[in-house]
Amino acid sequence: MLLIKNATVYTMEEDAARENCDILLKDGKIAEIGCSLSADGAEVIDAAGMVATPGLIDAHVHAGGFLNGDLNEKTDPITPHVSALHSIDIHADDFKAIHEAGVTTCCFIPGSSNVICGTGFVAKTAGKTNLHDLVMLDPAVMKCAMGGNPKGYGKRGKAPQTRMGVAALLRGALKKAQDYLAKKEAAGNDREKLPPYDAKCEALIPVLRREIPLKIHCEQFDMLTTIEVAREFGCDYTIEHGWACDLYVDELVEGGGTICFGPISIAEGYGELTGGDVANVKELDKRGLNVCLITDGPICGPQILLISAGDAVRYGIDHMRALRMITINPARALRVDSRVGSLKPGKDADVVLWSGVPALETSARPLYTIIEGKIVYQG
Amino acid sequence: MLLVKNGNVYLGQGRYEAGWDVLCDGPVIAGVGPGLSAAGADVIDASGRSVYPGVVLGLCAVGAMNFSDRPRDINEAAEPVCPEMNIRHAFDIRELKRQRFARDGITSYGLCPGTNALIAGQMALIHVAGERTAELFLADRMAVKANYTQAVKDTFKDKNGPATRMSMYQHMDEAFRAAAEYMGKKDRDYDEGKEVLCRVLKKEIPFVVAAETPLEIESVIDIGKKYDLRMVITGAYGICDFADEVMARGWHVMLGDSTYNMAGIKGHVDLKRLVGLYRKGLSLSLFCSGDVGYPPAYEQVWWTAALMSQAGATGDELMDMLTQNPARALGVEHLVGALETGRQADLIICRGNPAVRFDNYIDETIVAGRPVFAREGK
Repeated sequence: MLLIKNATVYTMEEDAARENCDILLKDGKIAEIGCSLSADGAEVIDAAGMVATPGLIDAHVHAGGFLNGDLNEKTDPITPHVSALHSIDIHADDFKAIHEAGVTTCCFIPGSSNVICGTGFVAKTAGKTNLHDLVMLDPAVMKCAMGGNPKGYGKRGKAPQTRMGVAALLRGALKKAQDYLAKKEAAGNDREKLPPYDAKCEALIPVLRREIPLKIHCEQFDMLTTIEVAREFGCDYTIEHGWACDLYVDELVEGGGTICFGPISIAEGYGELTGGDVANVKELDKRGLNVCLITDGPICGPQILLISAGDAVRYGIDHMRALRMITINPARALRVDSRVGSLKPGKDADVVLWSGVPALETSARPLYTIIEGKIVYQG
Repeated sequence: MLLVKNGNVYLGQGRYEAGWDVLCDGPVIAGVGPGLSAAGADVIDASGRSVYPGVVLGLCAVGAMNFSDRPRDINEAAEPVCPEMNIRHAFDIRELKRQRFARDGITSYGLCPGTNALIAGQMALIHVAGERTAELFLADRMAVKANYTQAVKDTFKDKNGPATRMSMYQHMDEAFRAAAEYMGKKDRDYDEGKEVLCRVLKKEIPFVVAAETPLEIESVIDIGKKYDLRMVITGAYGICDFADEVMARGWHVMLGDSTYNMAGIKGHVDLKRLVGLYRKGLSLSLFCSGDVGYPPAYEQVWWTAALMSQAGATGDELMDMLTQNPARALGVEHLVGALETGRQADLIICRGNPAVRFDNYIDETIVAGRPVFAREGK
């Protein structure tokens, strides 16, 4: 048992912080939040002057597998049947740093060199000695990529070489899986009538059944293609990166899929390389779309998740709205909001105690990172 | 004339004067003090707000990159040593005009060649706003930019080298040896590159060299000592162990972006120790990875500031690292970096110190005496 005393608490369930508030953590869960709590035998953290938030959540991370090239299977543009689970090394430097920045849950996903890149999973970032014990949800998402990255196949004279090619391959794969699924369903229990086993189609079935969303790397007008394809196949989707989303507000709001925006901040270039300004999500957030901020780690370090929310504040987004973009919003997008993303009795005891108000005071840094009731970092 | 009235005016080193004014006459500051007036001047009321010098970004290649083209126009890499290159000739004002420097409080920057050549060319100091290219340039050929990093090896390993760090050292050493020999000769065939390096050898202009790891930093310090240069070490992620040497020689450190790519040296800077070294006298400024080939973002300089804030730096120390320190490092402190009569009228008006709180918004930015940015609702 761990009892946090006298913190300023942002539960993310309410619109204001609670002052002089206690949090009791028991058996890896939040047992109680309130004033003057006590618990016999509990270890006590005097958190006077500290600020408590839920552990931060990064919905788009490649740390642990990106730098050694293990998240881009560049041999086939359609690889829904590979899983990031088999490429993430929790002992890699970039993985080990995550929880020290107050980030306690991430969605780890393949890179974007393929049209369909493979499945991603949601996991805690510390507290266990092997990856499988950290995993909360697998498969959690089907990572796909529009735009420039999968066009890399063009160098080898293979498809896709254009955005048209990317869209055609994505549609083709989903169409094939749809037919496969229909045949399987028609076969029922009759093994003789089952179509020959197809690993790629099998991997896409949860997408077609809306059990997991397509998580689609796209910038600029690629997001229109994403919305169109998702609608055609009745899939859920999230827009990843989403640079220049300010140009497609109506379509994005109507489409309804979460936008995971970032990494933020880029010089205004041409083509894909423009529109990374975090102020671009202000209108989407106002219009009720679920907005998350992401680091794309290790492209940006894990400390940048918090600083991205701070930058959102710097450019005029309400502080509480900005904090939501790195806590409860990604929890919802990843479908793990029953466990993480806010401080509420019954949810996982993932708490960060900060030296100041995160995303408002630049000096705020984690003094404690607690995952499932266990102190995993002390700053 | 533009008169900024009644602000909390920051004069550097933690000194504020409440209720002071800043008078801009054309592009230059004509006065800083209490109760200034000027007939017919436009007035900005800064009551209840703070006035800081505009941020001077020590290094940035935006404007000269030509994002739509490869190779980037910042990276002439036919030869590893090409000090005769002048970044001015790669500058495209359209690229600058697309940017948001002013919103982020940046009013001038050291426009620099890229990361690929060992001695990459000459820098310029430019304003972030203006109509014509000529009026943007505040100082031309005011520093030489060099690189002593992995990117140089990667660029030249399949050409004639350098392919190793030992060869990088040899190439740099030979460039200065030959320039020194050239300088000593009475009768000489004109050589533009050597002329430029002679200016460096004579300490007319600083030698701004990117070095990231302790090994790279140690090597460039050797060069700097051997030829007695005015050194600015940039990137400088592994600088802490060499700070004494740098301080003793009056050299300067520009800390690069420590936000991009958490693996490797950039993720392992001991910022707490660096803050301590700053307080002992290390001359330090902040920039972001503004000279890489991938489109960098300049507002990330505030990210590095936030990380330094987490490590214990005060807001005023950070504002010095963003204004007067980089100006001094580049030898342009007579032009920018402080609210002082005679310097360029580059200033920002904020709710409070923008390095302390994210909601201390930059309300207004003035470049060369002209308001170029006002926050919505201001």
